Parts: sequence; C-alpha cells; structure tokens
Amino acid sequence: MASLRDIRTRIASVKSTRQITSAMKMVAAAKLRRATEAATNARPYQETLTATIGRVASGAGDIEHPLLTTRAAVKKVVLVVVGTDRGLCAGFNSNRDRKVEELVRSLRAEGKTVTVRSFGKKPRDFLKARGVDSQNENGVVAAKYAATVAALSESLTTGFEAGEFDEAWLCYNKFKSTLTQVPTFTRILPLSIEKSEGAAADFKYEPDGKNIMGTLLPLYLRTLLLQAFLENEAGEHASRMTAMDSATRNASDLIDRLTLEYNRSRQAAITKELIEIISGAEAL
Amino acid sequence: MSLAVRVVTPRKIVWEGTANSVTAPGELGEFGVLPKHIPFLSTLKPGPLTIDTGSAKLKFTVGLGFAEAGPAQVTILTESCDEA
Repeated sequence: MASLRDIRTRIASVKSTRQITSAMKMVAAAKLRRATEAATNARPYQETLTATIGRVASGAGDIEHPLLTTRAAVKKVVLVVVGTDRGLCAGFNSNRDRKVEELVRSLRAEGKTVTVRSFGKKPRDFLKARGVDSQNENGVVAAKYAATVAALSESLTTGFEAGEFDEAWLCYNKFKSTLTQVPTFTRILPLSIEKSEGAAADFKYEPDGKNIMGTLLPLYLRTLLLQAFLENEAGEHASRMTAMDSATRNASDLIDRLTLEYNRSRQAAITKELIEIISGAEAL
Repeated sequence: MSLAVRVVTPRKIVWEGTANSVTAPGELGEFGVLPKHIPFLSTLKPGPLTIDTGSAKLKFTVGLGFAEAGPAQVTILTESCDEA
C-alpha cells in the first residue's frame, strides 16, 4: 500500500494537471466561438456564389471548361489534407488521417500515383510514420487563410491544366456540431457544379457565359478550400474543448478516489496506533 | 424606386442597404446600375466601387469577384472590399 506521503504527492500532481486541462478547455471554448463566427460570416458569400454558378451553368447551356472536364483515365491523384498543427484534440486528426491512409493505399493498389499535400503538422507526421510522404506545406494559421487558399488553388489549377494530375480530392473534418466532426472527402478537381432550375434565360453576361466561368470557377474553388480551412479550425477547437472537458472530469474523479484512499490509510494508521497503545496498557 | 444592394466578402457582409445607383469596376469596363436595369452578371476586376444612397456617396475598393444586377437589386461578391 502506498504511503501517506506518496498519495499526497499524487493528489497534488493530478490537481495541477486538472488546472492545465481546465485552462485549455476555456481557451478552446473562446477560440471555438471566434472560429464558428468566422465560418458563419463566410456563409452568405458561399451560398450566393454557389447559387450564381448554378444559374450561370444552366443559363449558359452546355459549358465546357478545362476545370470541369472529367478525364477518361485517372492516373495521378492529389490529396489535399487539412489538419492541425497541435494535438490534444482527441481523435480529431487521427480519425481523418486513418481514412486518408486507407484511401491512399487503395488508390495505390489500383496503380494510381498519389501525391499528398498535408496542411498542419499532425497529418503530415501521422502519414509519414506510416510510409506516406506528403509535400511540405505551411502550417495552418488563421490569419493567413486567404493567402494559403489563394496559393493552393493557384497551384492546383495550374497543375491540373498542365496535366500534372487528373483528379484532386480535399480531405477535412466537416464541422457538424461541437460534439461531432465528420471526416469528409470531396473531389475538387475537376469541379462539379449543380445546375439550378428556373434560371432567368434572358440574363446578360459580361463577358459571355463561357468566359465568365473562367472567372467564377477559380472563385468557387477558393471558396471550397476556404470553407474546409474554416470548418477544420472550428472542429479543432470544438474537439479540443470536449477532450479537455472530459480530461478535467477524469482528473476530478481521480482526485476523489485518491482522497478517499488517503483518508482510509490515515484512519488505518491511527487505529493501528490506538490498538498498540491499548494492548500495551492491558499488558501492564 | 431604389436598389437593394448587398456587398459580400468571405469575411462578412460589408454593406447592405438601399441605394439609388451603384458603379462597379467590371472586367470589360466600369458600369453603373440604376433601378430597372436588365438582369445582368459581370465579373469584376480590382477597382473602385461607388454606392450612391442619395444622402451620401459610399466609396469602396473591391478585389476580384462579380456583380449580379436585377431590376431592383444588386449583389456584389468580392474576395476583398475595403472602404476607400
């Protein structure tokens, strides 16, 4: 049985751990609020853009654009993985990365060449440890999303148009709620757009319908990417908040148990001493 | 007769309200929109955007994006928009 002093030290150490986890939880909650706000603010833009593209697509008849054309033989695939730089957010990164790894293996088994571009240290290290090398990307910094997304979409479109790869997929955690984030895979190149019904046919386009797509599609791609980064950010903080919340609760439980054990062994020691004294007195 | 105007960026809705006219930097040249304009969609290049509300002329600088105009509304979608 552990001595009284050992138990005391353990209680103290668990208490300081609890202090850290509860502080992290509160920080994550504050960051989550900001991240969801950013994601909500971005929504009107995404919705209007998606609606407009759908209208243009159905109004302008059959549009052919390099970014929309599916290739007959898909040989080279690019995977864009959006993750986080920091851990301590439960299965947020590993759930997604395991699926990415699976996908990479099955694509390679089909004889396709796969290039992975990981955003965030976590997915990069995870995949590297499992023999999937990824192209080095910058970290995930909220203030730089616009620049990161612009550079990424630029390199994706030029690479796609130059035939460096035939398909690009985006992997990130969709933010469903604070408690659930779902790993999602979306094909971003070639882009698929939904035509909307009931479009005004007498719309006047400037420049004409075909050329206008050349401007709208890159905008659309950037929006998709930005949305992934925003949802990833919100999901990271949500996941960390719930993880730290349960860690704090576990620490409290542990402290309760240790305190109980401490009191018991203290009582046992007192009883033992009393028995010794009494039996000593009786012997006289 | 006035226009319902919305200026939207990925960060937020920059401006929303009614105006008498809007002047925007289209890809093929600057254009103005007055009420009863035909349905019209144009891409934008970076440049100045002016919204005339009658009482004031609001000036913005917009980035890449597009403008969608109708008889009674104008929506400007742009990647960046700052007050100038």
